[in-house]
Amino acid sequence: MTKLALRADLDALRAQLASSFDPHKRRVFVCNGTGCKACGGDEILGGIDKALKRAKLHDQVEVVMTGGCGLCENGALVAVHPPGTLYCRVSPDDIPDIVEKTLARGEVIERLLYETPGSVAETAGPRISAEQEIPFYQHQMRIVLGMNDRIDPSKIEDYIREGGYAGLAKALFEMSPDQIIDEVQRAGLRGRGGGGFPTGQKWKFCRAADGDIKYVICNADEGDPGAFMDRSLLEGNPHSVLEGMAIGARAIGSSQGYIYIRAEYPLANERLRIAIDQMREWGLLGENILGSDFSFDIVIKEGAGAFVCGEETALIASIEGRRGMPMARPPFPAVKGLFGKPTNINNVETWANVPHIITGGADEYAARGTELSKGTKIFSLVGQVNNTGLVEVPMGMTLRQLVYEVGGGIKGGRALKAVQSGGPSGGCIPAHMMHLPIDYESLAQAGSIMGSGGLVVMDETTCMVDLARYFVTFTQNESCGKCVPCRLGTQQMRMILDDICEGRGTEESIAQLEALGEAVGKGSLCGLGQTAPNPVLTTIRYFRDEYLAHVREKHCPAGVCESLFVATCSNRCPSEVDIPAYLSLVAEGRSEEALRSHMERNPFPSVCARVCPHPCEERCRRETLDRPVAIRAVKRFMVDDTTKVSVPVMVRPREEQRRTAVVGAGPAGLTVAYFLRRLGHEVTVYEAMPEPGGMLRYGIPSYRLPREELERDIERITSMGVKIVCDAAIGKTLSIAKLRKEHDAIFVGSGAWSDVTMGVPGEEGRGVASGIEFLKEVELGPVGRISGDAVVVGGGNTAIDAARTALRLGAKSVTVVYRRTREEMPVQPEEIVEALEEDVKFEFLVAPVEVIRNGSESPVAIKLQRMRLGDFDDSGRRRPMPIEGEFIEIPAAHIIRAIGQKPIVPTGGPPVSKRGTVNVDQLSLATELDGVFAGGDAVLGPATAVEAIAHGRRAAEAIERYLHPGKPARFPWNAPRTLDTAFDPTADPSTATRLQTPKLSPVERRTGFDEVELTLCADEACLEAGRCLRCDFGKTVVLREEE
Amino acid sequence: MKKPGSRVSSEKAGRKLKADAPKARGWGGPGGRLDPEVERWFATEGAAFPSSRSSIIPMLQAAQVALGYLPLDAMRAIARHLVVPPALVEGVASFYAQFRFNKPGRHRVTVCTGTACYVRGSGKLLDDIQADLKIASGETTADGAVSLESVSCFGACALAPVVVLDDKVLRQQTSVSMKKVIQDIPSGPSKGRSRDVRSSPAARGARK
Repeated sequence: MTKLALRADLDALRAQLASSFDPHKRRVFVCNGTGCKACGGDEILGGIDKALKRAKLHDQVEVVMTGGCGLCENGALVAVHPPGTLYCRVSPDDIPDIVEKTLARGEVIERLLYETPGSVAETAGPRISAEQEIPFYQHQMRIVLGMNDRIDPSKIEDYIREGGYAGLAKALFEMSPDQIIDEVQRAGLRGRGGGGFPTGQKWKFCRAADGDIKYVICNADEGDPGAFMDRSLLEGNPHSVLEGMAIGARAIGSSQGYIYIRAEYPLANERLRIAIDQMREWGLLGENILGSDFSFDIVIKEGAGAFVCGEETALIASIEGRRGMPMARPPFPAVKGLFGKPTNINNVETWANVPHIITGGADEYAARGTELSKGTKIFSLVGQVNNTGLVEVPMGMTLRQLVYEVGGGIKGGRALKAVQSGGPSGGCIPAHMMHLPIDYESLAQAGSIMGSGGLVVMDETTCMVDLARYFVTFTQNESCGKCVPCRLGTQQMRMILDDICEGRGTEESIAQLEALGEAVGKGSLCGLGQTAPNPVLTTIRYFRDEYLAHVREKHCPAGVCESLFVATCSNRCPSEVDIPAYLSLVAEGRSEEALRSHMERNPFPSVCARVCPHPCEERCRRETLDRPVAIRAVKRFMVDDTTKVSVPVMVRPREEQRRTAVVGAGPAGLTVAYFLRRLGHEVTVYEAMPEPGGMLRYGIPSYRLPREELERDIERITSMGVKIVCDAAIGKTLSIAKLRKEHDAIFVGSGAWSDVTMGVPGEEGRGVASGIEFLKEVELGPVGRISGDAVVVGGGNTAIDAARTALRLGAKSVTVVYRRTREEMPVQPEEIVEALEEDVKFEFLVAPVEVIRNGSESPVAIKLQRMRLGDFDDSGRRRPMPIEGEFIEIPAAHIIRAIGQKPIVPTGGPPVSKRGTVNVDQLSLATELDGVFAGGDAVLGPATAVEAIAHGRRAAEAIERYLHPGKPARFPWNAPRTLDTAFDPTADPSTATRLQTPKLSPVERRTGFDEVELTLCADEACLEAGRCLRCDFGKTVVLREEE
Repeated sequence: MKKPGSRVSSEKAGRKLKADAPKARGWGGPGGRLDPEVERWFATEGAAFPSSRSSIIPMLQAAQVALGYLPLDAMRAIARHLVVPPALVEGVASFYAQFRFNKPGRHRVTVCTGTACYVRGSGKLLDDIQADLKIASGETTADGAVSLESVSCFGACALAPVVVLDDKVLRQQTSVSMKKVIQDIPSGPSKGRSRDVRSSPAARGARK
């Protein structure tokens, strides 16, 4: 090859490369970025090449190695053009198929196509063939990354063919240095490394500085954990960075460049080295480049693993061979930098933007983005998001679009909690602020920073306190030690965070953190120290409740801070039942002890074994191996296997016993009664309905919860001496004032029995009932059979319960109508499955607009507005939007509305909020009335039984403290656990697969109210319980008792 | 080798170091001689570096690649070449997380504890690997087979949590899958020389 001596040579070469390039030739692009290499990318590359030769296809198909096409999690990626098919998760085993089917015959291999993520296993989305149609790419604007998926980063010819080095040629021959700087300034390019300083201005300073020798440096010390934009650029298109540097050097008047790159990026290092060698060979580095008067060379300097070296003065120190400690500025590097000479430092992505500005012009560049933040920004979108990888979007896109549209939403359909931007210098932006546009100013206002572009998406399984500790630990260790506030301040902050995470924190600790954070920020010399408190301060600002849960309740809601719980399942259980304990006891055939262990913290084992939505199973670590332990199924066996268990009442001196009253014999009220009775107090429960049980009896049909099972649990409570008075509604003979006078403390657990109306014409009158009224009447009975078609409006538990009940009562057909889709339904997915099996019909994306009566007394149909899913709201669900003019009518003789329930609070009861819920102190559940506590649905709105039970225990503890102020409370259920079941931590985990509980056949179910779910046999229950990984092993104490 | 005193630090005006006789400055090991292996490295590679202070880090890196770690004598040899006190070389080396001063195991397990890996459970993963290998991060097993390290970000965040075995990147690891990986590590040396993905002190201290 000959050197490109003149600009004309470069143009001629490009013309020749372009003319010999046949765009219609079939090419197979094999990604070989670090991500795809880890998934066998290089083996696939070699394998396809070999297979093509064997099939004698190598003349017709060209194999191209690329580096970094973005959709890294779906690696290894292989794209075939034309027609533009993208294959995901390719393994070397797929090579024969790709060659024989796709490359030889043009067939598409279905199984390798991109799969749209779905939150529910059964509803995984369709597969998409064309690369450009994948939502991940659709919403991006790939300018800087544009060439990554079609050029071979190790071939300078590919880069030149695609227009590479045209910008350099233009800068050398058509523009003066001042014009270049002017162009960059007008484009509005700002530093992509984090600070956002205007690049053109930086260049101007350096150009104006005195000095015969000047340096340009590319900062490729990408130290932010969670960010890999720079790596991908260097791996996928190193020449764009090098061209940018050359243009910058020309503008500034420098002839020597340095690239300071992390040693942790071996592949980027290698590709960069190849690229620089090629530039030299072709004469794009060296003396008189392309025949101009510009001479330039670039040297690679490998970093040695120090985060602080991302700071420019520290980086300079490191290149000079010193400890990488920052220096005070001024003098700025633009005046006195590397080896004392004027130096301009920009980050990799900033340099890679430069050729686009020069070739396309400032106006075109500035047309993208917002007023103050121009162009596009590359982000590494990682964490708990479906499409992790590298994305490039125009500035100003909202975080919500980025997470949901580009990122495809949260993994496993869980809820978004926060997005962390800017690495250890940045902050956490909570879910309710996802409407923020991504630009330098908006993120700074939210307390975070743009940073270099790491965006870590977090769901409810991330503990924000632990995350703050993680970042402070990082900065503490990376602090160079020069400034005291940073060196010691970060250490102190970390120790306080350790305290909080390990259960020793107090509210004072949070105040200390805030004060220290402010001091460290103000007192540090360089960016590392100044921004080190950001993760702590933003998490306190937006997630104070989570900090409070750690310090007040010694509870880690996310289930991360190990010292605060025995196992993640128990921690997730609202009533904190010791799940590994009862599982292991059942596995040893000790059901009675298992039940007793359950009763320690939850007096409704039979109820929960049937109706609990088992959030514990969502956090079972067995899921990382295969599927979660079927915890509720084991519990079901446990309660069915045990005849009778009694719980002792504490023996207490007479003077310590108090008189207490409970309003409402639902799960919350009866649980308070149970725990207060255990503490030796006298308890009377007043219930308005004829039988105790509350919603458990009147809101849950008996095919889900047989009444004798409910009575079994209640009987256990009354046998301890709890008095239940039924048909005793507040307002008739009783009043809250009277109860308060006659008792030392009372608890109000009056539930959420009031229903929400649809507010549509025709709703008033016969044939339209509320779901909860309907279920109540069925329970009170006797209810005759119903005839005709029934329609149930709503998507919650009550809706499905009402639908299945209506079916059992003989309705001709039952249709559930819901305004969103199946995925968004709040009801348990398995109940939808059961309802479908029983022939309940579903109509999604419709909202009621009228009950049609046609003059008759009863309804004849319901008119529904067709809906579509619109934009994402802050809860991460798409908003249902009406489709103009599209309506449907469904015949309906019975309409049951179940679109929401509201609390009812007895007259004279505690004050309520606007939502109608009782105002309580979150920790003690004390209301604004002295000696009156409240919990369950009355406080939460419609919630689950297990949440009401959790409230019950918490209220009982608070009442005990209220009754005996100043006395340290000792609760027997908080005592250290003594578990003697056998466990061998060195043994391999059980290989058994998750068992399903048997169910009644759909035909049998429809004819009556027999229980649908059946129980496991003893052997099965043991096997299932034995699948537990025993995360609790070795743990005995959880700090809960106060000093 | 240049004569002592001939070194001119162009980059650090005003902080030139006056060099004394080599021995007095402690450039030799015990008895004034350096370990033969270090001398071999120096003769084949080290001596070729320009004798300027900005060679310190590249020389340390080269020595570590060749020797597997940085014995004291390697730093003495570098100091001798650059005509600076050995303390200065060690001072630079100890600042950077990349350099190790103890002989590593034949295989290296590196757990990424970057943010993306961390929120997908690498903290717990590292705990479990430590328990499996019965060593703490930064240590080597008693038989010298495996060194366990952590790195603050490997940059393969999309594949989190990531573990690197020698130079093979393993994606989306769990405690259970790592148990198997560790069991399958051969007791012999790894094939080829793996590059350093050396831990940062941050990651090492991230979890107790």
